[in-house]
Amino acid sequence: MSANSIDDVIEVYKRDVDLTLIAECLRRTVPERMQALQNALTAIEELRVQVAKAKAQPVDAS
Amino acid sequence: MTHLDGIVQLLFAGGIDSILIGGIAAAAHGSPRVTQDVDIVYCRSADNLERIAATLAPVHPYLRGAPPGLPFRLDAATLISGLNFTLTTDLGPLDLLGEVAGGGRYDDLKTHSIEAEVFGVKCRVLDLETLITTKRAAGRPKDFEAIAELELLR
Repeated sequence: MSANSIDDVIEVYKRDVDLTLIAECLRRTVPERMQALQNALTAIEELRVQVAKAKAQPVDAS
Repeated sequence: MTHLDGIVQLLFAGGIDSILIGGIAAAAHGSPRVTQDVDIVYCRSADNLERIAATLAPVHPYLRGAPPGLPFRLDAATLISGLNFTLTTDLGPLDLLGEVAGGGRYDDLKTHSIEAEVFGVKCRVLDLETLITTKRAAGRPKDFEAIAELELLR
């Protein structure tokens, strides 16, 4: 892939970037961003475990 | 500050008929991507719109990216007149979707969701196959890598 075609692909990706989420992050201090990341990781881990448990339960055929 | 757990608790403890979709659903199915916003598809019934307005009011929902000071109020009338809302709240970013490309509305997607008890509340998460279908239908290049991961999670 040439440098130009990579640039084109990146430009296409930029169309869908949610700039409002970036703005939200930039409003926070660096420690707040790290804490938000930690909060998200902790929450996602719990969500993942519970959804895996729900998927493992037998489907009620009634 | 984002509190994914707080948003999920608020929505489902508040009795809002909704399904977690997007990045948080992908993460629930095992995607290693970290998301800091919550996307839901919500039921458009009049009762549910009232519940959404009442439940979210304490966390001050506001249009994300809009200049401060607009006379925006997330009430049932606002929800009826719109469909998809990208919001900021005191608990973090929240996207309310009335309809999802490739998946339809809440009533279409409910049978394609999994019920799980998370953060002390029963919530619904879009199932893996339908999540892939919706991400494919959205056709956004930024989702392509996520779709590849989700397909490998089958």
